Amino acid sequence: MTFSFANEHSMSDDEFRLLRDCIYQHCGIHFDIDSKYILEKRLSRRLTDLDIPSFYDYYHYLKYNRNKDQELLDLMDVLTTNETYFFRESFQLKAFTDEVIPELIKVKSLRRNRSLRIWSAGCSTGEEPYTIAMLLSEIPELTGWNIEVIGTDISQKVLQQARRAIYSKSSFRATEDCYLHKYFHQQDDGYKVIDAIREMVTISHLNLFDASRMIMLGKVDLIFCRNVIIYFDQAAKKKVIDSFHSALYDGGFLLLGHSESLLNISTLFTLRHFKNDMIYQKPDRIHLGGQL
Amino acid sequence: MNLQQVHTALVSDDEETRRSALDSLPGIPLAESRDCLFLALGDPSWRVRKEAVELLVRSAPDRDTLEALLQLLRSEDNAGLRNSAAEAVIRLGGAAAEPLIAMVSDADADVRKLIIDVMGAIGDRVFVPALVKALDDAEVNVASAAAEQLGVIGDDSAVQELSRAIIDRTEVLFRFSALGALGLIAKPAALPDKIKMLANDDILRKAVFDCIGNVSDESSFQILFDGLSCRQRSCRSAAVKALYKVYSRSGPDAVSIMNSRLRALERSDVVPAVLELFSPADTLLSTAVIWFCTMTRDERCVPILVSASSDEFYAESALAALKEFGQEGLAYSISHHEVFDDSERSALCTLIGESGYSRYSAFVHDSLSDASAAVRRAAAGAVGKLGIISSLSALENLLDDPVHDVCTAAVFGLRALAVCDRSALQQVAERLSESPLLHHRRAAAPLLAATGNCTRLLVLLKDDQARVRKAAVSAIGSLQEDPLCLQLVSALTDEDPDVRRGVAEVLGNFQKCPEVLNSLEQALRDEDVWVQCAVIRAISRIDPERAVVVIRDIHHQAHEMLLISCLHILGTIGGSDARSIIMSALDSPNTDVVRQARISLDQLSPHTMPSGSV
Repeated sequence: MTFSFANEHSMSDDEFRLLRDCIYQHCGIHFDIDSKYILEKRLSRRLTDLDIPSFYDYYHYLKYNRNKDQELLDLMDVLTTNETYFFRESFQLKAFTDEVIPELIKVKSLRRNRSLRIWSAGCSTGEEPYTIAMLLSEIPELTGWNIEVIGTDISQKVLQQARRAIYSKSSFRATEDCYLHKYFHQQDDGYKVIDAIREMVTISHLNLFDASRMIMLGKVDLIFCRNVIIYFDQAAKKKVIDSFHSALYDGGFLLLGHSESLLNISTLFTLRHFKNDMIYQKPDRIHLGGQL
Repeated sequence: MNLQQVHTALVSDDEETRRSALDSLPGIPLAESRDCLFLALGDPSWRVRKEAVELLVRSAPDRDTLEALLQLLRSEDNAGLRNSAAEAVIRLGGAAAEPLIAMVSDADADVRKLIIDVMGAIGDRVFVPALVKALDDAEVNVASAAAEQLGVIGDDSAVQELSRAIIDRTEVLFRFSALGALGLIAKPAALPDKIKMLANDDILRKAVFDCIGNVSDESSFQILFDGLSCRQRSCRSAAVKALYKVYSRSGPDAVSIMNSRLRALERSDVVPAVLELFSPADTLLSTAVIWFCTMTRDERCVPILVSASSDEFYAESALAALKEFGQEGLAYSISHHEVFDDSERSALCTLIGESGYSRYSAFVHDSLSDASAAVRRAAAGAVGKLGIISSLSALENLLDDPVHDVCTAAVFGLRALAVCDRSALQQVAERLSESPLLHHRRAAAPLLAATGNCTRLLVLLKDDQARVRKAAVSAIGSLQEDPLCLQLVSALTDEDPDVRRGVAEVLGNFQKCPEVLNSLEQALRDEDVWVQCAVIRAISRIDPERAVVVIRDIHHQAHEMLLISCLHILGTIGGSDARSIIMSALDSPNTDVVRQARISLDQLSPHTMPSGSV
């Protein structure tokens, strides 16, 4: 550790390519050469912590060391961006509560199914799944329904925070006071989500690139995956979107970030134009009279 | 589904029915399915169109189908069909080159333009002559597209024709596109004056600056200096970026002239006009602005630099620039910028520590108790660098910080303070070494080494916690005192592989202890491959020739990681034996082993070829 302006370790282009490919194979996150400085800076501390002299040796550590699995987890903590807050992108949440959920209630009620499973993929420190749970708690038609919100992320560090469910001011930049009073307890170290909401939410570790683990998640009615696939290249996006398609029930919805689309990635979903937002939907075979 | 059913499904009202109908086409010959595919290319749904393009491209169409596909580009009433056809042609690439070139003289200007855009998207140099010819197309949209696509294809054989056309054709649209293209493909040289003069045109000024930035030499300095005072923000941005780029590739004489010109801008109105351009999302522009700050040394630049230093991308260059301003510059920043965010406070601490600004010791000391972990970490480092001995106990308290990075920084800071007050540090180190807390004893190891307390270090070497023993091993290794080597050798049998690995690494530094080499060779039988790697590295540092002999004995059965380490060592040592072992590794099925073998081979000098090798 030198505490100087420059990084303690410098990364050659060859080392960058090796580590970039290693990270990509593990989780689909793609770094182009312009992002080399991010890898160099963030991984530099891993080298110091592990007492490893070069990035080339670190690459070997990730591939051959007995602690490589733990190191890949630690690496994800360092590389992923975790900036999020409650009630983010309100127009999308309005489409969710006012248009998508009423449609799901209608369809599921017809099928005498009163359960709802929603997956927040890439939930970071948990603000999104708790927001979803709060919004669902506000819908009287869902009283008596079996509701489960699942939050997953690849970084174990953020999941610890999600499980603690204690948040500081920066998480509330878009939260109305009524929600703050109703769904949080103020305590010395911040605001804690009330138990009734925490009970609705399950936090779990998941690599979106790990299709076999994803199967264990089971089928869901709706997936929130906002500002996550922007870190993937086309091939990785396609792989993840295909997994989402498999994880959704027929007629299920996929909410991406406002700047994200499936154009040139997948034709598996139809794009629904709601009043408040455009949302992808998995085509419903029953709706099509069982033609597929 | 048969073809008739597919056709019926493709005119259904239901999007999903139309999309899934295409699933039946791959088994049908293209000659029969072509009409259905072409119908789907014009479907109202992008999902159906995408699937149709995919199928068409995969079916490797013949010349007849290609020509029929190109005729779809004429579709005026169905933009979806036109775009899908264009996408399919682009994806087919070189296979479509001949019929495409034939269509570049089409009577319809819209078709000519679309054809030219498709050529650029394919990006094949075979299109360059046709595109050069199109620079003189009667229709300006077509000529502009041709210029643009020449830039995309990037063949510098078109430079002369592009330059001529920029001067000959007076349409602004054309000149704008052609300047952009010229900037992309020309090699750095003096730009013709007639082109530089176009900077007098408000609309073309930015394009001229961009072009100069990419291709011109120092003969364009004056135009760019003038550009820094432009009213339009976009032109100023282009001017500062171009200046930065031209400066970066200029020779010493030109740089010297430019330095004094830029320095003369201090306190001028140009400085704030450039500073307001700083925009982190535009990395080239912001890098150019930081460079401009360093060159002018105008103190009004300091707040921007402090802000930039909190950004991961700019931190290094912004802090280096800030250092140029000295303590006075920082005083300006602190007096003009009362509230710093977490990242800025952290950057300031790093700057103060790195630059040795002891005037700000109080700021650094206060930062040790900052709410942000990043600030505490940077402050701990700065305390060590500045030698603020009065912060000793605050620094010691940080060893209990909940954030690991902060604790590590506190150890760094404490160790550095040993130079200022050895006896105070000795007391801290001893106290920590007797603490019931593991992380205290672990932190004690480097501090004991810094104060030369070997007795306590040897006690830590017998600690019940492996992480403490490992820290003690590293600390003892850093002392390199031969009497300690026997204690280290006995630690080669430690139950924890990380401790054994640490021991092996440091034993390589004890080259005068005869017991070490034998013990290391025994330790090559360690069950942990990472220990084995450390052992072979240590042997190679003590006795390189012995290392080659050992490697020759073990490399056939070595674990791939050990083999990689051996190859690395052999590349450094060299010799014909080393070369032949490395050569044999080139046949390994493991790509990492082969990569290391190639690297090691590159390291060897050519005169170490084994007999019989080429």
